[in-house]
Amino acid sequence: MLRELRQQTLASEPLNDLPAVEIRGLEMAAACQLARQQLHNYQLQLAPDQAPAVLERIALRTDGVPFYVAALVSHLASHAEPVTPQSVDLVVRHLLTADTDPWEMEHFRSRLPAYYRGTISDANGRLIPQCHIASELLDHFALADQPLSINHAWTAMRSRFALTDRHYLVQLLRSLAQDHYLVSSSDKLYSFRFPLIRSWWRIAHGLES
Amino acid sequence: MKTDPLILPHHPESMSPGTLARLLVQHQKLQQQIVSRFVAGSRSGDRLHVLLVGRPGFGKTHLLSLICHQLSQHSDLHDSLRIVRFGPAEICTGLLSLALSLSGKLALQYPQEFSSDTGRLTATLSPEDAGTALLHSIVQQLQHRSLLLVHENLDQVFQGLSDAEQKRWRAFLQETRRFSTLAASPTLFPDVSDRNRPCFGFFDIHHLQALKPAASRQLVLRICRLRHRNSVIPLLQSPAGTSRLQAADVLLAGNPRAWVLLTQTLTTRTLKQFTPLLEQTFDALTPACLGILHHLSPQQRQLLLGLCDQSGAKTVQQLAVATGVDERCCSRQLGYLRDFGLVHATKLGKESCYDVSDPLLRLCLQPLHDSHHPLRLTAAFLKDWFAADLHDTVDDPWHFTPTEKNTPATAPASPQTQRHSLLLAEDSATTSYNSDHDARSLILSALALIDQQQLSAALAALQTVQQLRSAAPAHRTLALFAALEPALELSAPSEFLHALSHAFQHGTPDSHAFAGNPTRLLSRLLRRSPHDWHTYISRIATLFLQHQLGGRLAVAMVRCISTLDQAGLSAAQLQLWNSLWQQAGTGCPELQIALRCTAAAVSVLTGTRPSVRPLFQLPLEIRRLVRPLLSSTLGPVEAP
Repeated sequence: MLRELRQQTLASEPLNDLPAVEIRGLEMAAACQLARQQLHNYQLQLAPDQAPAVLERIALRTDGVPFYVAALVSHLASHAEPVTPQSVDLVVRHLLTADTDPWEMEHFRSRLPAYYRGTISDANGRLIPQCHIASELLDHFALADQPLSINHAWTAMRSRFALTDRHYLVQLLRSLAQDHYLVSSSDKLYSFRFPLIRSWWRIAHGLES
Repeated sequence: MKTDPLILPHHPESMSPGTLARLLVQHQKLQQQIVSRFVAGSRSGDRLHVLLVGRPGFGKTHLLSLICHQLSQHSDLHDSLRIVRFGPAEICTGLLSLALSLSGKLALQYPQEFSSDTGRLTATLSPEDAGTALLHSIVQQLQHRSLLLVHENLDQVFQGLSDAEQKRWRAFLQETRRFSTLAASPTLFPDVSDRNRPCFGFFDIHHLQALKPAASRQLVLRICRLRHRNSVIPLLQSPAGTSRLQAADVLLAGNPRAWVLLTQTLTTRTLKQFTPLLEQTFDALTPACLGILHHLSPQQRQLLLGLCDQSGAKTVQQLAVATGVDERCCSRQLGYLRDFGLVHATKLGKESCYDVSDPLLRLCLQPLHDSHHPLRLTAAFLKDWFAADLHDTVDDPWHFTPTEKNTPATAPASPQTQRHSLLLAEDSATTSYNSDHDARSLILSALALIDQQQLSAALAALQTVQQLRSAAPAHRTLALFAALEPALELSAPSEFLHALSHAFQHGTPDSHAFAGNPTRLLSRLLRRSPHDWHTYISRIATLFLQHQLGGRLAVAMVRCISTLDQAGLSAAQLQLWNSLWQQAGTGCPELQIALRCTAAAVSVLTGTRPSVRPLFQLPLEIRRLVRPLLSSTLGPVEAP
């Protein structure tokens, strides 16, 4: 969105002097604390020897995002007793695969055409919708076992599309990072920002096999 | 005696490296990059696997040949690199066949280093094991060296390898790290583009683009220099030559092979005639175009041919009806043709309209005969279209003199300056008439007055020029036709038509100014009462056609669409304009394209809501010319 604003009228800085604050997931300890509190609210008892492992698993599988922690515990309360690390995994899997999409993950896919509007011309003059390239790129990152370099992504995308402009791909990666799909490390290796979303993407796009 | 270097459009691999280097345009940077990466890789032990993807004729073999030559001549690689090249017709039926072919080539090219004694391995081992064993034997014989495999059509090599063989091949290349690949393919094929295939992401893929107009021009100039065609070079550098190249570029669509073929018959005369030049080029290209059909299934061929007429783009439904192919099947096959880069889809609302992506291919595949010759008509139209840009801006190109060869291309100037240069050109062409300075200054002031809408004064000045005995025929012709513009607005229809007939009768047909500027004339005609249009249009059409100037009139009719777009005419008036031209142009082949453009534009302008859809009745290359003329109604043309 910011990129679009910049392309239109606000070339310099659409946010002007507003400080940009990135809201991240909770740290592990805080996420465990939240999970413990939520479990307590639902009066779910954990076996003392299982408690740390369960809390850690909830924090890990939800990437410390409070919304997902709360939703997961709520689901655990109604569907899975006793609560064990394995049942946490099963419930997360169920929430990611359910046709009713209780976590509204579909949003991450359906917003791509709105975020990545327009087309780019390939080597043969064919117009490729930008959202298609973004989606392919996310497929590629969803399948990768480790963070990938820009060059790696560029090679992979040239195998899928007749792209000729490397700069375009660099900008696209940057936009995907700004839109919270990807994150880059200090040595500019990109990966999915949230493993939970990566898991959903793999399931939703049939990439798991 | 100077001899022409060999230029082989279909077999660049047989050309000398010097010629290849001189004829490489647009891709020099890519070529240098690949060479230096191979050299660096050879030192560091990194093995590169490069794949060039580009449509047939886009210069893949040219680039491969040049890179191979440079690597083979590189002093650092003399002892450390061996190169084996697989030709375009090479057949691979499996990993063993690939290994056997490789072993044979190595033994032939480097008999001191490699033996082709493969009998023992193939006799004692299963084909699967024999292939791998043979490859390992080659690695052993390579000793400290590395090997560069050059494949002209990698897609065909992969077609012969099963999934398991592709896996083994990739594993072998990655484990031994002794082989590099430099390959080409006309399309991005599933074996490298599907992420579930073993070689996805293995190749460093470079997509070759069509030549940009500047690069095409550069290529043509370089070929002419190589062939010592010095007389045509200054002409190509002139605005007139540029306009012809622009016209050719619309049809050749940046295809380097097509440009090389065109240049083979390029002379001052053929460039001036233009249409036969294009026809000869297309004739030479037809076997290559028909070759593309052989790679398609009968149904795909049927659909492609179904799109090869002049009726513009078709939706899936229209094409299914036209060809009798089931609609779902048609849609699926069009998807494949799109992946091959043969068709181009444009989304219109919920539907997609399909065109053959390359006008060259479409025109080559159309049945042609003397009474139906879309290529001839299109080439003639494009020639006049781009020449019309120059009529007001530059001197008459065909009065070109060698002394002007270093004159830079004229930049667009104000109408007055443009006309001034036209006058100067007429002067240079008629040096025996130096005494008509009065005529020239009168014309100049008259043209300035027309631009300022002082039409009576302009008309009087131009009529004076016509009376001047000292005026050169070219100036008199210019005055005769320039006077038509003010006359159209100031005089009664009968007087104007008399002046028009008089101009055609007494003007010098060879003069650059003969026929004047019909676009401006038609634009002024639109300001006259529609009741008079009939009289004007029928007479204008008759006179232009009588004087073999139908092409100039056709261009004016199409350019006038821009005025139709902005004039605020009612639907009835627009339809009247269209129907009068349709009547006037019936049976005139030169006007056919213009009549279709006018009809399509009027449909756009009279539609209940602005839609580009009616323009899809036009062939792709013509549609691209017409669409910007309707920017008031349809909005500016979107840049991708």
